Amino acid sequence: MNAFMVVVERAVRPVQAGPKKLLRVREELLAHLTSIYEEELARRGDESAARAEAVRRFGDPGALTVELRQSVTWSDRIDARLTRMYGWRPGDSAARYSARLALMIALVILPWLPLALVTAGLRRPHDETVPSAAALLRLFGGVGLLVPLVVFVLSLLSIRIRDAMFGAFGTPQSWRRVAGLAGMSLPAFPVLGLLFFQISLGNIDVMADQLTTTTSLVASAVGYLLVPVSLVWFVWKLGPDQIRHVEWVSLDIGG
Amino acid sequence: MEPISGDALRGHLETMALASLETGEAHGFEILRRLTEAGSGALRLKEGSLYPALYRLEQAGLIASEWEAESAPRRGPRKRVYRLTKQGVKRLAAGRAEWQQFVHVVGTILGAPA
Repeated sequence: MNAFMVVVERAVRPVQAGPKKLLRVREELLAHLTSIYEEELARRGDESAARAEAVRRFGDPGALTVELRQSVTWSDRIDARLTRMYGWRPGDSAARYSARLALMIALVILPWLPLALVTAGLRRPHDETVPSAAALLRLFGGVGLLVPLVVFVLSLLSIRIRDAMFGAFGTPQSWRRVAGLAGMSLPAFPVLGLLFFQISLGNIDVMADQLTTTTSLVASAVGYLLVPVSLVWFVWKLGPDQIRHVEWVSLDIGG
Repeated sequence: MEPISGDALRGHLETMALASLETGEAHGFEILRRLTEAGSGALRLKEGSLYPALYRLEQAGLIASEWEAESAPRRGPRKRVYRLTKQGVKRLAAGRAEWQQFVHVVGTILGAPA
């Protein structure tokens, strides 16, 4: 199987498309190559001859790359570009990938700062509808720190949950570990929320004021509970494809 | 019979793939088997090159596909099953008419029976 994966990957890796499309192409081509092999094995009864014939019938990977490139759409190219910027790269640890993702998010937020300061500069004295430059800077500091932090924490936890859920990349499969990691996301939002209010408004009274009635406490608890549940659901749905993607792109195809 | 391969197939592969799906949905390997059978073994196609043609047909809305249902435990990688769309049926009919006209015209010029 691994030898066939290498043949397929030589054809597919140079194609500029997103992981979803590439995974589909990889799986289809691998299924086809495997079917040829099984057919040839039944005919010849010799594994090595069947393997060689399967590769011959499949065709030159370089020629296939050229044809696959012709079937790529502009949206595939955009997807490929975004994946190059934000996606996982071979050799990335979970922490490094999550940190890069967080940094990218921070770089997306940062360019809005001048616009906000210009808006604050147009503020007339005593105009309560437009926040002052100092307030806007504090708000930006809060958002600029909180959003990348949330992204980092959720990304890191989702990777760790994925590996524990599916027993991937040397991590033993453990539902207890999944529950533990998901539980760790529970305090993440209240803590980061407090941090946000502290940085943006200079105090946490606003957050505390919102949690004075039973309804608001229950609503907040339900909201916070949704975080680990969504995280586990997200990993359950997307994890297998992510794992296959990592396996494919980590494959040593030589040259 | 002389084998037909490479350039001679170029431009016809997509219509032939549509024709092979006329008998019912199939995954790539089965499409190729149908083509090989219908071509009495004369078709010499590098099998991987069927897939770019299928992707182009799908992008054009002439075929649709989905992953094979996993009712039984699956052996090996997943297969994708293709089927003709209404648009594909129309395109196949038009492709056949174009081909018959081509054979008629070129056959007449070459002096062979069309």
